[in-house]
Amino acid sequence: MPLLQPGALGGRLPRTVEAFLTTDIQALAHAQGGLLPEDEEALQALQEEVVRKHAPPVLTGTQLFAHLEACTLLPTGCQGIDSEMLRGGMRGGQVVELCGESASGKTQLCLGAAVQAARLGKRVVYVDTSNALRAGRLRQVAEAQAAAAGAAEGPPAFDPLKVIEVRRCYDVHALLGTLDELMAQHAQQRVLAQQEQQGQQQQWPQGQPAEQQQGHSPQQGGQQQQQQQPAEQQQGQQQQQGQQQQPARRRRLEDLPVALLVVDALSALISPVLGGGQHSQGHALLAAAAVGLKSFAAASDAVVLVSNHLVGGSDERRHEKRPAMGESWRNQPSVRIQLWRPAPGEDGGGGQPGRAMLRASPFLPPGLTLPCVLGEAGLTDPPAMQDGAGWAPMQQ
Amino acid sequence: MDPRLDIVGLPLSPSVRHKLQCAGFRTTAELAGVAGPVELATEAQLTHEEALLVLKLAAPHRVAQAGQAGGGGGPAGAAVAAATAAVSARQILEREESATRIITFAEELDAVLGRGVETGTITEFCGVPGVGKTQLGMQLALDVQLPRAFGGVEGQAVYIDTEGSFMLERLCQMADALVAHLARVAALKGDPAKAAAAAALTRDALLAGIHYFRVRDHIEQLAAVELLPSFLAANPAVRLVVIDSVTFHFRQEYADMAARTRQLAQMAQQLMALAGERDIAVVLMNQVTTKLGDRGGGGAGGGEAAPADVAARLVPALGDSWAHAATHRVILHWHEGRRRAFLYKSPTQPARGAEYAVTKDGVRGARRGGSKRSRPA
Repeated sequence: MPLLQPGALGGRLPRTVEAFLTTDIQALAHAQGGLLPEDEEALQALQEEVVRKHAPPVLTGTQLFAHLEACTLLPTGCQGIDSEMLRGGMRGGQVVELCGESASGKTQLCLGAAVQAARLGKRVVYVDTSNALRAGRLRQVAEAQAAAAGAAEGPPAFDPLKVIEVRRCYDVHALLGTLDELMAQHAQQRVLAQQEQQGQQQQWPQGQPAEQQQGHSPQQGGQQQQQQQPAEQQQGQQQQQGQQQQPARRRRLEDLPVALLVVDALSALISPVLGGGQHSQGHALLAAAAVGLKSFAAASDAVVLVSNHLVGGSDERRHEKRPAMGESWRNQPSVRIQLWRPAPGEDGGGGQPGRAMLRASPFLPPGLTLPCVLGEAGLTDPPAMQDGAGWAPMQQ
Repeated sequence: MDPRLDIVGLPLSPSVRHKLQCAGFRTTAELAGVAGPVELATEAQLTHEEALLVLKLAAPHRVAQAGQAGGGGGPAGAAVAAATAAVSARQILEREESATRIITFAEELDAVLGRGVETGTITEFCGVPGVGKTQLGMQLALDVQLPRAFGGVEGQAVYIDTEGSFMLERLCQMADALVAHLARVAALKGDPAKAAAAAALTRDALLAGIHYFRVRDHIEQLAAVELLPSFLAANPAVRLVVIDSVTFHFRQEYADMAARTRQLAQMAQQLMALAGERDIAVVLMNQVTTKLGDRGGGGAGGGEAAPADVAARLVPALGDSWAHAATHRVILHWHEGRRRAFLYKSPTQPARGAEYAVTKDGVRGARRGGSKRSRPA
């Protein structure tokens, strides 16, 4: 490897990665002053190294297809939305946006989806920006869902609330910090998974269950493993209950891969910094949040579910209300579902069901509208559409 | 893969960020390689103070890096001094179950809210003038001081008055009624603990437990909200913040509507953080405005449905973005000559209504108003 003298080139040496990728070394060599042959050689080698280190890996269509077949599908809790709008559920690696006016059921759908995933034994990270997550309500949703699932499932082996991790973020920096932490945990899980593959179990004297470190690398995270996860989790929980005196076997939440990241509501963090035309920082922060959410989804194969409110639509001009956070956010989520508040009858009971409409989707034309109702189990199908019994309208 | 928090995510000024980016720093992982502030200052042409700030802000993320590089097997999450602590929903449930709520003294309204006004959240009451918003605010400021012996929160209240509608005489009247009520209950139950608690709670004690701010314009209002964290740190007994009303100064001549929306969103988020972090109840009073044009119809854009018994065209002021500011939203309105409250939005309780009354003693259940009908609770 040729060496480059520190003082060489008199300050024309590219100093940043970006500069290395954009500098034309040929031009530098022929420019005034020129380059020594060995310097040029060294620069070429360095540039190649930089390119190699930063270029993304190449995947073939076959590999992508295999990845698609292996991807996780998470239910939202509303069968109509799952089967018709999402073609099976929320896909791992996607950013799904829920938008709607206040009290249209966004939070309820988020809670329902979180409990659904948690009941499958998957780790859920719930970023709550507006104190809307009340654990009492979560438990109610969990109980209602378990009741709706009925005897087919048997009694719950563990408390789903244990695998829902709540983070309260009140500004966008806290959200970005959380994303960074989750990325670090994900990287850690991958390292552990790799070490596991190399048969280095003895490095883990604490006797952590071997399966858990298999983590979540997209290459090896096949369907089989996805299905294993709930069983392992239940087993783990039972062990935990049975063997409280053995803290070594305790499974830490942060060792599990995140399957669902909920941000309710993203717009509450963004709207204080965005708008007014004087805030370039606001757009930079929005972009950073969007990039952070998408790259976390892509890297960890988790579903990212964000909620957003609606703006505009002042009556005089009859503009349609549109999702907040503007044009630069508009194309970020892969799926956007808009919700409408149910029109309640007398005192809120009965009345018409609410609506959900598909606003954007990678595989379906927008416009599909389904009715949905708010109940104990979160946002669900209207009773007539449900095949299972056990749904009861919310009563107090 | 390295944790790659983009430096955009750090709360830095754009000029510092720009300098860092020009010097090739894109993520906190890259800042982790820097030996110290002096090196960073020369590298990125920052002042030493700026460089120090950058490294301080990036510090939790640097620790994560170091832990990973050094330990190899150490859990990355444990090393990160998390900006937001992770708690499981299970832990939150345990905390919630032990929490006490602030009752309104109107039983049916309490039932609709789920045992009263919840701490840790923002509850917004909207209504036309005279429907009882200020009465409710003053009543809650007293109720938060209910002794534990009576199942109360035993806290203090901050009252931010923007309209000048806070009436001391009325408050004294309500305080006297509350003291008399507690003495009556204590005598009835013959419980010495309750009797002692009731005797300790005099009108003077109740008045001393209310911290009153009079706010004259929107600048003062924003400043008052900005001041709250340090005020609450100095007065940890405060468990309730009432802003009556949040709307008033923001409905006056406001040239830049985009700025208004942003300031309101910022204030909402500050209050949200306050409520969540200190587990206090924030109660906001909001006015209503008349909404012109169609309702409920008109294709995709419509669909906002007011409860059938709410005056059709009155909607809470401050617009759609503000609608998301509160955790619970209650609409107070007149219905056939009686006061009613309708829970419009809540993450925990179903939408429904209840009657309440404003009497000589303060806000009370509707039964005192005459009709004895009780509702299933």
